[in-house]
Amino acid sequence: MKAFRDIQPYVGHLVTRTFQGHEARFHGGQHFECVEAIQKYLGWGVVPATLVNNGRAFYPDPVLLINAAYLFYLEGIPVLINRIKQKREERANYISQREKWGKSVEQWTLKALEDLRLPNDREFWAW
Amino acid sequence: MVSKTAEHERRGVLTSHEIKERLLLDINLPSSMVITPLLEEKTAFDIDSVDLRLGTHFLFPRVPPRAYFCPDEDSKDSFHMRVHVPLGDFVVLPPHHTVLGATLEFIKLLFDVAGEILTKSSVARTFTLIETAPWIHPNYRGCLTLEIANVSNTAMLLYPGRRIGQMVLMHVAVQKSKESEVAAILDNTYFGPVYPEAPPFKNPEVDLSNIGIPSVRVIPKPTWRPTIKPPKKKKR
Repeated sequence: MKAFRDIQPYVGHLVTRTFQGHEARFHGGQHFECVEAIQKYLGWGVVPATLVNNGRAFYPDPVLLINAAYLFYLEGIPVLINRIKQKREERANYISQREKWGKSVEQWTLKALEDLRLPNDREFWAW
Repeated sequence: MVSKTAEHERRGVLTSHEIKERLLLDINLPSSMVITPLLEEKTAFDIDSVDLRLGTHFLFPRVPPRAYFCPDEDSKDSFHMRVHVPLGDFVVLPPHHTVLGATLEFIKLLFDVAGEILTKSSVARTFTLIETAPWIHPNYRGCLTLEIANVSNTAMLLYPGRRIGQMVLMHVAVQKSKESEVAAILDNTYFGPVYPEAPPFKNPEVDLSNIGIPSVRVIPKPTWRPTIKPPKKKKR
């Protein structure tokens, strides 16, 4: 962490210089809601490509999607595992279960990213 | 006498209106449903069905390492070859050949709805069939694996992204007292696949011992042994 914090200003400077103000930034507010929604979808084992909020369907921003999915990968997989019917021996081996469902989370996220490239007239969430 | 299921007004095939309503429910609700991506939404629905498209991943059968194929614990990756065909390209299915594909759409069904996927009639009239195991259980989620068979005498070009099947959904009369229990159970068999999946099998002796068959004839698997001994290291 110390090494990361040491190089963080340099990385920030390079990103700003490269993207010249067009880089994606996390703005809180609606972005938080979108991240929560993505995690909710992953927690139910669903590809988070179309998100429903208050009866309307949205697409997530791809950068938010990647970050939210990674957050879910780090913190949310037990939620998913607890919802799935498992045999006793599967429950006993938590590490292999985590690895298995971690791969699924990765696949669902990649599928959502692929789907986001398809043309559609829906609105982006937090665009 | 009124049966327990008669208390349900929900019966028969879901209409497009019901499907659309459920697509806009919060994901936390057990009666919510997901179909994503839903392309050309205005024309995707018929009054009692929704069109599904061909996905971009395929499993082609390949010659197994032995002269036979035995569905067992070791067979999962030995019978298929994975191929990705990007949107805009096509895959050639030779005459009288079969390939496993998947729908482009990821589906999440409701706890009280089962479904069936059928070949679109326009596709079936080209002698291409997509399903021999068409039933979709309640609570299923994932892209649907399709067994695509070209039963014509001509090679067929399959384009990912084109409409290939239609899904019909039907109510399952779950007792109201058991609704929350049924909604909470997510089966882990074929849970959430986004690519066509090869089937997992148990060994035949395990399956048959479950029904009381004590002795099962199996062909012993050849174990690999080096026939040439490694050269001995020369002493200096």
